[in-house]
Amino acid sequence: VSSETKLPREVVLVVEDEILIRYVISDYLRECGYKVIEASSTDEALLVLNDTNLSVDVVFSNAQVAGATDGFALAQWVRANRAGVGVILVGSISRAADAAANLCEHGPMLSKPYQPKAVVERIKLLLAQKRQT
Amino acid sequence: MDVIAVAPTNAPASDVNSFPVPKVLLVEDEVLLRLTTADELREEGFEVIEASSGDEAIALLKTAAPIDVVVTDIQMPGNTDGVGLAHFIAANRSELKVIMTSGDLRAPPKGCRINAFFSKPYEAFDVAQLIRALLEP
Repeated sequence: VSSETKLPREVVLVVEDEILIRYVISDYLRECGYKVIEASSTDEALLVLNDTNLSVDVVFSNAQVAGATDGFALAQWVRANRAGVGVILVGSISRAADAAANLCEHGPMLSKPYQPKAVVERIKLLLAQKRQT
Repeated sequence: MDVIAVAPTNAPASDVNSFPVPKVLLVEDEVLLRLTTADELREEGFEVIEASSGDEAIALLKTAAPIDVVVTDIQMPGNTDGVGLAHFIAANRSELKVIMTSGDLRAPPKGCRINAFFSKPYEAFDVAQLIRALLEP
C-alpha cells in the first residue's frame, strides 16, 4: 500500500466468518490507515455496534455470514438504528440482485472474489457521502 | 516446559525497534475483550492476528501466516478449546510460544505445553512484556 493511500483513522467494522479472508482484508485496511474492528459473526457485530464506547463509520460485511442474522439483516438493522453508518455488503452475485434491492442506497453489493482496492474505493465513497450530509 | 510465573510490572517497555515486529495470534471468543486486547497489543508494537475460536486459530496455523506467539483463552466455543489448541501447536507448530488465559482457572490445565498463564482480568501491557521476554534471543 503506497503512502499516498494513507487515510485518517476512520473505523471500519469487518464482519466475516472466514478467518483467512477476514485476516487479509483487515490487514489491508489497517495498512491503508483505517482502524479496523473484526467480527466473526453478526452477533459479534451487533455487540460492537451496541457498545456506546465504540464508534463505527463503515460496516463491511459478508452477506452470508454466521450469526443469528445474516449480513442483509445486519445491514437493515444498521440502516434502522445507526443512520450515519455506511454499509458495504459482499457476497455471491446470484443472491445480490434481489436481496440487495432494498439496500441500494448503499450501492450495489460487491461480488466475491473482490479486490481489496475496490473495498477501499467503496469505503472512501461512503465516507465522502457521510461528510456531505 | 517451565511455565513462566507472571507478576504485574510497571517497568517501562523495552525498545521495540531493536527487534523485528513480533506476530501475535490472539484467540478469544469475547469480541469486546478481543478487540481491546488486540488494540493494546498493537499499540505496544506487535502485529496482531485475531481469531474468535480455536477452530479459526487452527485454520490460520495451517497456513504460512507468520506467527511467533499464540495468546489463547481456554474456554471457547467450537470443536477446539484452548487446551486442544495447545495440543495442536505442540504437535504441529512446536516452535511457537503459547500463552494461555482464563477467567475461571487460576492455573493452567495439567499436561499443556505452554510458556505462560494469565488469569483474567489481565493487563495487555503485562502480556506484551512477557512476549518480549519470550522472544528475546
